Amino acid sequence: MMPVSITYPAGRVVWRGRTDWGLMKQATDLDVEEALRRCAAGDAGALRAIFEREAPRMIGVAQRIVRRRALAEEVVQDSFVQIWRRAASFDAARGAGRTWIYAIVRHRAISILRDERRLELDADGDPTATVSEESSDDIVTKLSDSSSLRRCLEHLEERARKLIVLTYVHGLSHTELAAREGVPLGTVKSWIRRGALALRECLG
Amino acid sequence: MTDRDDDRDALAAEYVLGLLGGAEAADVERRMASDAAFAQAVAAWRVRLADLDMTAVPQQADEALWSRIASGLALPSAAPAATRAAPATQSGLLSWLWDSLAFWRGLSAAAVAAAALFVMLVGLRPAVVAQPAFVAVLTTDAGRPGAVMHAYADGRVTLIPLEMAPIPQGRSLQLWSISTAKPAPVAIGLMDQVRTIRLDLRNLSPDQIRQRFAISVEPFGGSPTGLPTGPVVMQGAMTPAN
Repeated sequence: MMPVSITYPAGRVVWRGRTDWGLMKQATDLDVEEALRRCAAGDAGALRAIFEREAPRMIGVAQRIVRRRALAEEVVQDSFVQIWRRAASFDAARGAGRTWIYAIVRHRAISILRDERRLELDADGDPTATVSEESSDDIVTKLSDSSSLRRCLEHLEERARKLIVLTYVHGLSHTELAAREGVPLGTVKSWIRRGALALRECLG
Repeated sequence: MTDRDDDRDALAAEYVLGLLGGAEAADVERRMASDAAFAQAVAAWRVRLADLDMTAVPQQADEALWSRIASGLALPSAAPAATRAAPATQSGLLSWLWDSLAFWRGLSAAAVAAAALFVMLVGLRPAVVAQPAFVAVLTTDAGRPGAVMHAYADGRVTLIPLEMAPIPQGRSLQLWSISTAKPAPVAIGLMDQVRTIRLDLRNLSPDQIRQRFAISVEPFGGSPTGLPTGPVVMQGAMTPAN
C-alpha cells in the first residue's frame, strides 16, 4: 500500500514512531488455507498466525453486529475454538479460507444477537461500544474499486442495496428492517429476495 | 433458473445475510447437512458477499485475548509463548496473571458487569466527573497543542480536539498507540469527524497507556494495512495527572 501523499494540516509528512514493514509483509502474506491445514494437523503456531493476521478484523466484523467490545471479543474467542476444532472440515472447493473463517465469526455473532438476548442495554449509551452504525453507502464505498460485489451492489435498486448491506454488516433482522422502512414485513422480505436474486444474476 | 432454484437461493441468501432466527436457522443447517445442492448455494452466497467483511475496521487484538483462546483450547504452551509480544518486560505476577485462565475469565465477566453498571450510572447521573489518572497533550508539527487525551483509572480515555482542521474529504483520522513493547503502532481508534470520542483502553496495560499516542490521516475507514500509511498530524505521550 502506497503512503497517502497529502500534507495536513500544512506540515511535512512525519512519522516518529517505529514501524516494522517486515512484520507487515509477513502478516499480509499469510496463506490462510495452508494455515488451516496446519491447524487440522495440530500446529498451534498456525492458529497463532491466523490470530495475528485476522483477529483485528474479526473483532471489527463481530463488533459491527454485537456492538459491544466485550461481546465482540467473546465472539472471536469462540470462533478461534471453532477454527481449531473444525479446521479439518474446511473445504477449499467451497471458498477461500478467509471466507470460511469470517462465516464462523458472523454465525457466532448473529447467534448471540438473535438468540441470547444479551443486548438489551442500548449500545448507544455503552461506553465500550466504539463502533457506530455506518450507512450502506459508506460501506459500499469502502469496497475495492475492482470488487465485482461493489459493481453489482451499485447496480441494485437503492432500497434493496441498503437492506442487503445493513443486514449483512450490522445483523439487522427482517422485523428491524420493516420498522425502519415503515413497510410491512412481507414487503421487506420480497425486496430482499428480489435484490438477492438480482445480485446472483450479476455476480454469477 | 427454475422457481425452485430461486427459492433455494433466496433461502440460502437469507441465511447467509443472518436474517433467520434460531429455529429457522437450525432448519437450514439440517438441510445443509442432507442437501448438497443447498449447501453449495449457501457456500456460493458466502463467497459472493465475503468482500463486505473486509470493510470492517480492524480493532486491536491483544495478548489477553490470545491467552484466553490458548488456555481454553489447552494449546501446547511452547507455540504461543515463542511468538508472544513482550513477556520479558512483565513482572512475575503479571506474567502469571497473563497465563491464568481463571483470572481472565473472571476479568471478562467483571468487565461485562462493569460495562453494564457504567451504562446504568451514566443513565442516572450523566454529570459524574472523575479525575483523569493520565493526561497527554498531542501537539502538531508546529508544536501547537492539537488535542488533549485524558485516561481514567477504569481504562476509559477521552480525546478532546483543541485545534484541528476539518478532516479532508474521504479520509479518516486514526489514533495509534506507540509502545516499545510492540513492534509496530497499534490502531486504537478512528475518527470520521472531529469531535470528542471515547475509547476503551481497558485492555491495554498501564505500561502501554503510558506510551505515546499519535494521530494520522488515513483513507476513509482507517488504514488498510493496520499500520499508519498517511501523515502524522499530532502526537504526544501520556503522563500521570498528579
